[in-house]
Amino acid sequence: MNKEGKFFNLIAYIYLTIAVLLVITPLYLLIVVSLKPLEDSVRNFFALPSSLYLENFKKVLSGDLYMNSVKNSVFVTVFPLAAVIMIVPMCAFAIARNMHRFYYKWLYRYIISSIFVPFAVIMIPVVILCSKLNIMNVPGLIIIYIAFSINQALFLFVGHIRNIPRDLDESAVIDGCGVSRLYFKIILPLCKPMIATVAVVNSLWYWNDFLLPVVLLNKSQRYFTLALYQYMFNDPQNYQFNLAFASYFLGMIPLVVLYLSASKYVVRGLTAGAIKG
Amino acid sequence: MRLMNFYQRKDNIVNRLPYFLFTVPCLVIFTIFLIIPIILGFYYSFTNWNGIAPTYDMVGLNNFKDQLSDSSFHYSFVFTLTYALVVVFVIVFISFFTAVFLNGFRSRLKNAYKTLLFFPALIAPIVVSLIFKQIYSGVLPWLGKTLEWEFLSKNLMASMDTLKGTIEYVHMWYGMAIPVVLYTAGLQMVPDEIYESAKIDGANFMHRLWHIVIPYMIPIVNIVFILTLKQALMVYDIIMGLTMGGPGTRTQTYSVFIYRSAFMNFRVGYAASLSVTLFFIMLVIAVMQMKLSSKKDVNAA
Repeated sequence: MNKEGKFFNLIAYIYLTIAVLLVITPLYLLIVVSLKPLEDSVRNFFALPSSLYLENFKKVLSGDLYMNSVKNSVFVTVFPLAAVIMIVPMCAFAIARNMHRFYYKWLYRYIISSIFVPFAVIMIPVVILCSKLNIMNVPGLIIIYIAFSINQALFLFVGHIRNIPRDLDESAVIDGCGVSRLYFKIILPLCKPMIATVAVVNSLWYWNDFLLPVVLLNKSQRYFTLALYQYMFNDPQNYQFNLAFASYFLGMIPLVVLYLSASKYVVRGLTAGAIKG
Repeated sequence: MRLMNFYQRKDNIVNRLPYFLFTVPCLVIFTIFLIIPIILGFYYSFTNWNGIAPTYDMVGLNNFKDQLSDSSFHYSFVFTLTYALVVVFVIVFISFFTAVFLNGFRSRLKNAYKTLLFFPALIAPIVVSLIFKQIYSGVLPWLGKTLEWEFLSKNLMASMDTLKGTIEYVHMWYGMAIPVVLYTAGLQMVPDEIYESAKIDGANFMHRLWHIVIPYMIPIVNIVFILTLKQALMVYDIIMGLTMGGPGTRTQTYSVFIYRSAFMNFRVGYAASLSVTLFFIMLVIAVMQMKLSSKKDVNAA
């Protein structure tokens, strides 16, 4: 390495170390505070726990409403994901192979043009619609998530399927394959990488979302998702932050595991989601 | 010949029906739960409905006229805009430099740093803000007292001078992760040959950054800019986690204002008109984004 390279590396080292420290200090606090009794944290926030102390986690996990909210969070993550993967690639296949036809071209434009509409814009009518249909509950939120995931997922899948050569369709059809066999046996298996990407970006959104649960699931504590539970039990009057931190820590575990085991897909999914914006 | 045969076969109705059926579930769910609400939103913006009463009147454009004279609308609009400008400016620049340093970093720590810097993107913004609320109200004052540092010994969120900065910092903390990844991916597209030959020709680091790296990165800068701008203008979670728009309405951003107007002040018609205004702001940003990305195509061609 030349002199300039060494100098650059030194600056990079200092800069990045500061950046990493700023990022991990809150996470470090989160971990040590959830592993200490409240008194120890108040005495010294940063000190490592003096012994293995798991009472905070036990208390959090023994809460009936907590486990219920975890269950709801799993439901509102898994069901929309399954539904989106079931219906969107299908629709994308039909569109990608019939782009020259009037109906498909305009269907595509119709769905894609909604991408720029953020949820806050339609929050009020969605709440009114859901309350009229009597679905201000977990199944209702699942349907709303499906509806709101279609535009972006369709965009990604149409782009992906257009790159799958039509020769494949042709030879399958010549071999006597119908459209639906063609889709399920040939196209869908080739969509796997895109399914992984879409699954990651959407599951992060569903699991971490706050705005939709807060407007749709506030009728009963039994409907709370994890994010909503964590927010609602943040009562300043009787706030035990060691318990709160333990619950945040537990809530993060699924996504951290997902990230560490499939970081390529997580990063790709989030960047694909970002580019759509 | 075979190709023609294939497309002729596809044209008959028996073969086209499955394609049509494939599009039905998406079309139906999308229309009922996304397009109908958009239309309903426009409709309610012309009413004075309070969200509860069975009847309401059509008031034409009155809600939009009210916006012009509503001081809380002005306040939250300006607050959100200035907030967004600071957050976007800082994220666009700082995450760029982070990516540049990360990209050229020669160390065993490189991958560990990369992984750690991405962590904030995994955490729910509402949880991030609740953690920081505790840090601001508990940890930092404790640290200030221990180190006998006057500035930190009070709650930074309790003073109006520092309140906005504390919220912006939280937003930057979690909003930086994805831009860094986007930039890092972009930096890898800068052709090595050009970069290396400039090096040999004696261009120093700043020259190479300015004349080679930055021109290649303009499209990514546009993406990051639009993405963070949208996020910052729509900010809701971290405001609810940190201040709930308070004290009073001092940190009420636009989304929080819509939420409060509709569900706490029961002015659903008015809140719908605020949403319509937001719709047009987002439309302008979307058009801007399209202009920017088509310019990118011209440059690439």
